[in-house]
Amino acid sequence: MNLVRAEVSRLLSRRFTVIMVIGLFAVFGITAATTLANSTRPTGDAWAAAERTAQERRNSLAQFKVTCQEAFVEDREAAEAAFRQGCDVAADASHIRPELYLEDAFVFTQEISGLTVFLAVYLSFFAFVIAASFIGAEMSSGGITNLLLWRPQRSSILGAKLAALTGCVVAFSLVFTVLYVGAFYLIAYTSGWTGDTGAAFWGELLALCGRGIALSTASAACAFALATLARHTAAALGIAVGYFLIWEAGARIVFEIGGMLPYDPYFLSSYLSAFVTGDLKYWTGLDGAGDLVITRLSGGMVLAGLTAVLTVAAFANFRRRDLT
Amino acid sequence: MTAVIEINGLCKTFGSLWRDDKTALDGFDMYVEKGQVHGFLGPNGSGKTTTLRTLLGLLRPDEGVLRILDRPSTEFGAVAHRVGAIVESPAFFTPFSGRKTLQLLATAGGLPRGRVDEALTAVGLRDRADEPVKVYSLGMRQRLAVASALLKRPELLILDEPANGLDPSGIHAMRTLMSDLAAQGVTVLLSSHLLSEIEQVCDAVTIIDRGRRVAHGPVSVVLAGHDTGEHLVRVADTERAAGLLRAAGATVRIAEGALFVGGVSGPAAISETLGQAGLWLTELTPLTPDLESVFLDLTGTRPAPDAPPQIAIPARRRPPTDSVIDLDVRSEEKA
Repeated sequence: MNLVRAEVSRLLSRRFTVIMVIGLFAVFGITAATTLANSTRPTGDAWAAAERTAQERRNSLAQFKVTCQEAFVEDREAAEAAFRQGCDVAADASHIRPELYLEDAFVFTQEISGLTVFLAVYLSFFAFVIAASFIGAEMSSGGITNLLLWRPQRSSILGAKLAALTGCVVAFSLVFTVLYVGAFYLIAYTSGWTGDTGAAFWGELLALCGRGIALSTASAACAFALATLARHTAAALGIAVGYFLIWEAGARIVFEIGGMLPYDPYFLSSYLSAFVTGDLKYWTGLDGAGDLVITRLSGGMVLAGLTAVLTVAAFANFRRRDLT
Repeated sequence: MTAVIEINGLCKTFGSLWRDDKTALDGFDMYVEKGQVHGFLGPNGSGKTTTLRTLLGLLRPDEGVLRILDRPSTEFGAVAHRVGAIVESPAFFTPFSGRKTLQLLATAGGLPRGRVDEALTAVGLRDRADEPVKVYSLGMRQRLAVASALLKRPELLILDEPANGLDPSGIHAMRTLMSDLAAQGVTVLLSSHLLSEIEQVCDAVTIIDRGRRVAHGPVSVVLAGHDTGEHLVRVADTERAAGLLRAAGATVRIAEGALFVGGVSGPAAISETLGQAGLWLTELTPLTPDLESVFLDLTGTRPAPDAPPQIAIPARRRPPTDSVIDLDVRSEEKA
């Protein structure tokens, strides 16, 4: 426990950590300020305009359904060609609420999911860089060797560093997420519209925040493992950048040009996206029977599996490695 | 005497996918007895640090037996609390103060924090202990490293280049510290390039070259093994003096305007031979080997005579070897 405390102290004293935290707060501040500047509390006229737009949308949906159903009655074959996704593809008219059409107002219930996903991605990037730097610097400078002369238990030393890192990432992500969501709620409450924030909404948002924190923690653990295996911060960052440039971007273009569809299951980002935002339907079959989906569960399992494999490999390698 | 460190037939080769394998240690042996201050010498890349890292469990040996404080080095964890060590210049976390650095190490090792001030005082860093390490000079960081090794009140102290970056007063203080520790019964293994320091402080030495031991034993014995018994003689008529001494059965070389005379019973014999011929000496010095000359000869690192100077002028005068004209009688006979 003392060792973990020492590592926490070391992590929090790093200049790089401080700079990254300042950067994170700066981005948050700019986002919040921009949102605040562009949002006004909806007036009676704004509500009336929004209600009119909502009503037009409801009418349009109702008209679509009527037209669609009539087409199926008249000529089913032609209708299937014209309305491939069926008549129920249109949203339920009862879900069309006027707050969705408020102009110039920040609507919390409408925006916060996207903002939280953005936060999850940003926190993950932040955690990856800090984690790679934290262990990479120790590996390349020989600091970890010095510590091993004091406690020659490699697994304990590496485990203490990983525990300190992931503990700090979880704690920081949690606090920052609460601050982030709270700030946007406050903006909506004072200069926008909070929307229908019932128990179901808060439950979904809480789960989304939890998955965001899990993603950032897994990202930190993966970076820690990569930097341990590669013995250098830059190597871990290089592996990550290389993967995203060569595989996620390059291979995706090749698959697209080669017509090798669907390619989504070959990319890690598909699973991460499914884990955070929900089931990812990457192929739609005719009449909906042949849909291909990466589920949230499979996304989570891939993330957990990748983290576990890298971490185990890092520990196994560090236990046997020559420390020169 | 009890061996505190025992190394037999240590071999270590570093493999690489991209380069040829590099043999760092090739059957190296070393014994350090309890209570000794033992010097560990070798040129750069000779295998000193690899030996120390292997001994401390940081590297895996390919072959060989290593024991430290009566335990195999693979069980270093069992004796780690009795061993203080610095290997090369340890990397400290520079935002922390010297005191906090030691406090964290004491915490990691389960030691009372009171030891921190004791160690800082021992290396003369107590007054600057609360400053961040990043403002420390190289010498101060080296003192901090030694302080970290002293924290455990070790029975065995392993120091790799502890005088690195120290000024003359720091070197003097380090030498005094080594002597004090030895007086308290601490065994010290000291790896250093400062040969004069080793010669002054150490009881015994091991010299390593290309991964093998080339000399070992008490300093006096190692030096005696390389004593040529030569004397440096300066006299007005060098050629005549050389002839007289050779006629008296001595071996004589002439170099740098002086005679290097061997094969005589002592300086009195030289003085008598030349005095009887009316040649008066301006200098007569027995040439005793120092550790530096022994080291340079054993490791083959003595600079070539026509090479530009790359190291400091030797502390003591010693006979040149390669640049002399050999006037030895036996050489003349061979010619």
